[in-house]
Amino acid sequence: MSDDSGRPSTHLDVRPDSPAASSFVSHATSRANSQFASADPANPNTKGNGRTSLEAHRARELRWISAMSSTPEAQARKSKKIRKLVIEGVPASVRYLVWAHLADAKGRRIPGVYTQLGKRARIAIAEEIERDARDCFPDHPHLREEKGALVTMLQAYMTMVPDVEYQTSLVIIAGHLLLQSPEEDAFWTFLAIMDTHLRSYFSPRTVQMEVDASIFSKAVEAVDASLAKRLFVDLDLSAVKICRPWFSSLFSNILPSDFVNRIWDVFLYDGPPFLFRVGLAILSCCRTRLLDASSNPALIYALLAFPPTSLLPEDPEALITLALSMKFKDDDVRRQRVKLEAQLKRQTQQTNPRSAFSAISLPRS
Amino acid sequence: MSTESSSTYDFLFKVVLLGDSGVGKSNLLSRYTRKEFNLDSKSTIGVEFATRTINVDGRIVKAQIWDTAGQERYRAITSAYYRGAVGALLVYDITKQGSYRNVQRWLKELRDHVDSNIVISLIGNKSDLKHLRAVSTDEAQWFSTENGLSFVETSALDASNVENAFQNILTDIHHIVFRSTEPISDTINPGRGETIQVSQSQEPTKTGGCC
Repeated sequence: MSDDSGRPSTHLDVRPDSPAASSFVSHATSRANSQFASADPANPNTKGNGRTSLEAHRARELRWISAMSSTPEAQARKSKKIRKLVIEGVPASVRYLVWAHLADAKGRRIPGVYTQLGKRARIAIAEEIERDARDCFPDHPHLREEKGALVTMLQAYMTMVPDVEYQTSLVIIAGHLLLQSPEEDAFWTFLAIMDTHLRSYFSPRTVQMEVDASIFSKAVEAVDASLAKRLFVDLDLSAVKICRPWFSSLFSNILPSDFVNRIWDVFLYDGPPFLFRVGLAILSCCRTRLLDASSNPALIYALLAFPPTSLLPEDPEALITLALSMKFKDDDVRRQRVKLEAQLKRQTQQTNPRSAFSAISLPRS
Repeated sequence: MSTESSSTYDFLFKVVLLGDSGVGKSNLLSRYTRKEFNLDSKSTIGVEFATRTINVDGRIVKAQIWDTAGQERYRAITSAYYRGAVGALLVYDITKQGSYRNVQRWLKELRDHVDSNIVISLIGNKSDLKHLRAVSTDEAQWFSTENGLSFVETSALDASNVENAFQNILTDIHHIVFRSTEPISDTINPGRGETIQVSQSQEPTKTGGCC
């Protein structure tokens, strides 16, 4: 059941992309001046103008709606059909549903819990959350409100998971979700993303960021040895300082939001290895600037923390394509993560045998 | 999210439901797609979809209906839903002046986000609450004519005119599509696509022949 691409959907008996499914599409194809004109189905990523792209948009919405109803959340990340849809694109209209689906947010959702969490006493970190909400989202007044959705959602999350150490990037991720999604849905998707992918970045008990930074610097070496030498030998930069702002915020507030949305689409399917790929792609975009003899460590950290749009491709799809084309084995990351983590865990336990990995306080249904 | 199983269809139309919170959009949709009505339905959060397949002039039309949240706080999210819609049912509550006054705003919001060819129908819902009526039929009819909308009063509770409201808009959309595709299609009888009724009001009839 890991691949449902060959099975006909039980909910929609006609494949929406089948020519037989819709004469609506086929009849209208040659009428480019009609609102109902069709897009070139072979070229779903073409940013056609006007009507053509509208038809592609509708077709894509339909594919997503039927895929979400035919593929259970827990199976979504195993489905090749879903992966294909992710790469083709996710319409803004279904994006929060797609994210919730890929993250399996429904599996974690317990009715009433969010409201209950909202009634808990104000936590010590609340002031910091409010300040970060104000600072990180100057253009979105509703996210900056003291008792608004962003502050409420993070306060709720922090009361629920005491092992998570607060960092500003939590506000950034939660805020980005709230720009797409109604509050309670955003909360459960946030929780699911944290659980599945990010929580170890925020736990004082793990060294996940150090592990990943070390894997990342090796990946840079494999892809571009002279750049790696420049960054990590000549300038002696810290890979952790480069990776932390990227990975712990999933590139939100680092790249323009249309780039971030596309990165999240793919990340929520592919998982952390895709973050490495995006990191490599950003380095590749900034390569000339990084190799420039006049650049110093401070400049480079600043450049990579906010890569100027002039160095990025114009179209987010181009960055995704570049990231996916990086010579890099996703499975290697997964293996190396396990190996390095075990190594480091042994070390910590030897130095402090009581620092056990205590149970986590997630209410799971 | 509900999806109706259907074996095949000739056309797929995306239609959005919009209007103030509490005017009965979700109940209109559930009445139309599932023949259900729920007096204490909760307000819609984000978006929900349902589909129904009907026959329009001998063609099978699958209507994909997007039910959107009417609440102000979801406005930023909901505007993404309008893109690509070929029809919109703009709903107000005949017992709430405010929901009728806001029709202007919804209309603007819609026109900011969609193609000008979209077929828009104004729906005065809750017509069963005659004793509480706050918006006269004549006034809404006049407004619709002025703005090129079709108009009908419905009751999701007693089901009156719900079938018609959807059938009419789908027929109107079909006529437009039919016209745009008819000259290049040899499978369609060209004589049947002549009438285009987009802006004219549709007097409710009791035919409602679908499925």
